[in-house]
Amino acid sequence: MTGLLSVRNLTKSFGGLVAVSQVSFDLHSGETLGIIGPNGAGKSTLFSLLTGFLTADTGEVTFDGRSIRGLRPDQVCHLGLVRTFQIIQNFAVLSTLENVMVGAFLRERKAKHARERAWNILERVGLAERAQVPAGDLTMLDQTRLEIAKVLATDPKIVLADETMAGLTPVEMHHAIDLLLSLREDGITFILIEHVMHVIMSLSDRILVLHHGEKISEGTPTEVANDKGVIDAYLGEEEIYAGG
Amino acid sequence: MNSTIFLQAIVNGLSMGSIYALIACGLTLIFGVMNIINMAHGQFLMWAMYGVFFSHSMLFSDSYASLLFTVPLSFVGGMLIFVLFIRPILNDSPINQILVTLGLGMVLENLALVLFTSDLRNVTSGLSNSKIVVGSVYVSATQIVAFIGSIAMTFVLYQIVQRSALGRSIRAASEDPEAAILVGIKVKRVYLISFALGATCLGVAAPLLTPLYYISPTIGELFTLTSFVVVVLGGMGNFTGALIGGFIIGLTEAFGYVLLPVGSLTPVLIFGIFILLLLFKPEGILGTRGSRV
Amino acid sequence: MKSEAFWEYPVQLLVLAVFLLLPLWGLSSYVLNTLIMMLFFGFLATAWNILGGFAGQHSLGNAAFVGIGAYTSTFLFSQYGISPWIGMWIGGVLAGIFGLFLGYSAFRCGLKGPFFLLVTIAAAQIVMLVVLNCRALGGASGLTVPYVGSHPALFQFESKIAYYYVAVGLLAAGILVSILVSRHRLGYYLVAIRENEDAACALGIDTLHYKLLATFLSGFLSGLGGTFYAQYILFIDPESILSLGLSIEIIVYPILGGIGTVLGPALGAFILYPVGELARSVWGGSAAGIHLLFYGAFLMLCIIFMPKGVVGLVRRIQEILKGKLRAREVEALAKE
Repeated sequence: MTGLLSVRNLTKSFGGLVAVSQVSFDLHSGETLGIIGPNGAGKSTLFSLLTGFLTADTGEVTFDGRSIRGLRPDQVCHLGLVRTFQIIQNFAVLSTLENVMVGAFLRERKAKHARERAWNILERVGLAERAQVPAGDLTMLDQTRLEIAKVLATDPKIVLADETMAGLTPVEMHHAIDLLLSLREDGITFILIEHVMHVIMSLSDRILVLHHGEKISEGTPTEVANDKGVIDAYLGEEEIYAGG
Repeated sequence: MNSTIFLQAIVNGLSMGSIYALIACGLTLIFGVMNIINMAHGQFLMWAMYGVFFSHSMLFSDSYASLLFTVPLSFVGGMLIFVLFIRPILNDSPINQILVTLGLGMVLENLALVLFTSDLRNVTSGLSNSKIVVGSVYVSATQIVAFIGSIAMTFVLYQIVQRSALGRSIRAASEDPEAAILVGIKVKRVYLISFALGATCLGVAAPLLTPLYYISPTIGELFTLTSFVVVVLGGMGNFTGALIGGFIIGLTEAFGYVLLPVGSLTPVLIFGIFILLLLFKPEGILGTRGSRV
Repeated sequence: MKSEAFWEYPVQLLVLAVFLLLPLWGLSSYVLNTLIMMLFFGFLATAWNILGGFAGQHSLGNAAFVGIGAYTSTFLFSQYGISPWIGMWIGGVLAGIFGLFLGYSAFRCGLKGPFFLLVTIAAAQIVMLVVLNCRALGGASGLTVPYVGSHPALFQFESKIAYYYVAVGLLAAGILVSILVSRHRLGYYLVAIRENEDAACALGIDTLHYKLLATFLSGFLSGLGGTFYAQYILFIDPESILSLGLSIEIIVYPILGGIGTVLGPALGAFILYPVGELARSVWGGSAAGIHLLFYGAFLMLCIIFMPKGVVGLVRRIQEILKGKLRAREVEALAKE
């Protein structure tokens, strides 16, 4: 049985450099898939391929029973596959509420309804008190929350979160993990890219390891952590484990 | 089209094209070094041309002698404009930079209109009446001087940028300003000198151009736009490109006037090329986006 | 969007009422003319702002839209006797379609910022050159709108006051469109695109579609303005209505007033047009370009010293005052 999202032999190269090579995986509804790999392993490129920011050279992506290869990002988003960015991309002059409204308008044509929807989501992620603050003035943690809130407002089937924890202090990270965990409880399907190993280990049902664009391992967090190939790929990056 | 018209168009195209190339070199230098799109470039040229006109009528018997006047003045003028208007916006968005230089162009144009009136002026050089006749093709001495002078100045500029110590700083600052600061290059000063050099191209171009072209406050806009077409054609920040682009536009113009059923539609051709370039090949015909100066 | 939080509707309606009552003072024809042109430019600036301000795509070719509107209605009127009231809509739609064509080419090829601006200049220059060389449109000598005396059905009035009210109506309509845009999905989407196109795209916004919508709207409104100009002046030529100078003038007002705000563009015209007019009346006869000299200087100074325009300045002062008030409240509390 294939799941909600099915990726087959996805390949993308830039010039001579193969960024993503023959990657395949499945994702089921309600599941959280973690993607890890050293820098330059092709994680963000994979996200861009899935969400239409890049078009794959070869391979197939099936989402909810239909092929989405070659669709534009906004079309992919319409179908329910939505990404966040590694470097936070807010609409800085708009308020927090308005930022989320931009996402909410995808499902609500009227400003009034979009505003209500945005309010609910702000409350859900704990940003309601900051609703009127310009997004550019938020703390890092709140910016992270906002990034997730904007995506939630589009009523996604799968959220692709690209290094949501980047730039957070350990305490802030704790809050962010709690948020993701609670959203997972709500049944939202996630694909996470994360550098901080203990974060991804605690959040993911399944983990996929990329190295030089190739999938070198896939399994439960424990299986992956004990995989010799994975340990070799990470050799010399012990500090990442130190976090766990 | 008979061969006389054809050859005459080539002669006219090459002489104007060489001047376009020189003007565009100034523009491309400024863009290549500090990423400023100078929308007042043609208006600088127009002022330099008035400089030729007045120095010719007051000081010098020959218009070419006004080089002695326009070259130092354009260098100093360029410095002054840089300090007053360009330095404050070096870190602004490209759009804001364009708008400031656009405003500067408006001020220069309308100041000229107020001070010098809209009367068309002509400058004749002592050489204006000398010409070479080859078969039935006329080549005026002023066209030859324009051609040689422009190429020479372009060559000098190229040598400065490629060979001199100053040029090394200019190239370093244009490629990576932060790294240039780290190795001890005074980037702001390099910008200042580059901007002044860009203006000096116009100080040289003006005396070469005046025997061939009338002077009026409104020609600045025309030269700004034309030099943009040349620069985009050659690749922004590319000297060789500007040289080739200048000749292409000069020749296109010359042939447009004789070939098109309505000669005055020639600029449409040039703007058409410009739009198509921006849409499909914004890196220019030499096609190396990013390589600058 | 809380874009005009400190100028809620009551103030706007008051301003509108003042403008509606103004002619009762028995203003001189000269003052009335100045007001009409000020409203007209306020309208063009407001139209520019929909694409340039909300969507952040700076066009420097809006004269082409104005010109297409003016030439269309004038041509239809003088050749076929079609009332400019009808020609106005046709001209607006044609200007909008021209905008779609231009915008589609530019946005499809990924042009942004300075490159979009350069393309709009070139496109507007082409339109001007074509009209200059088109005998049916009068070439360089322009077109005269056939004079029919006082004939409201044909958009011609004996008194300036009638034109004045049309201009007030036009600007009010332009501002109304801006308010509607800014309060609805379109406005949010345009600002999102301006602020961060990739992020907008990731949230499901078809950026090309919305940018084109803004281009059409901006072009359409500018085209309507063109017909008004033609009917008011009763003469159009490429120099006055298709030149780069007009495009620059249109962009100066929003920059002074505040780009991307609902009232800023019109406010900019209200401030700057009279200044230009004053300069023209003081030095007028001897110096043709004096008002443009001022505009150029204003443009430079605004960008350098006041990049968010008058509206931005007012907001900042408000914030500072609010901050001070809050500080005083805190002090008062501390004393208690």
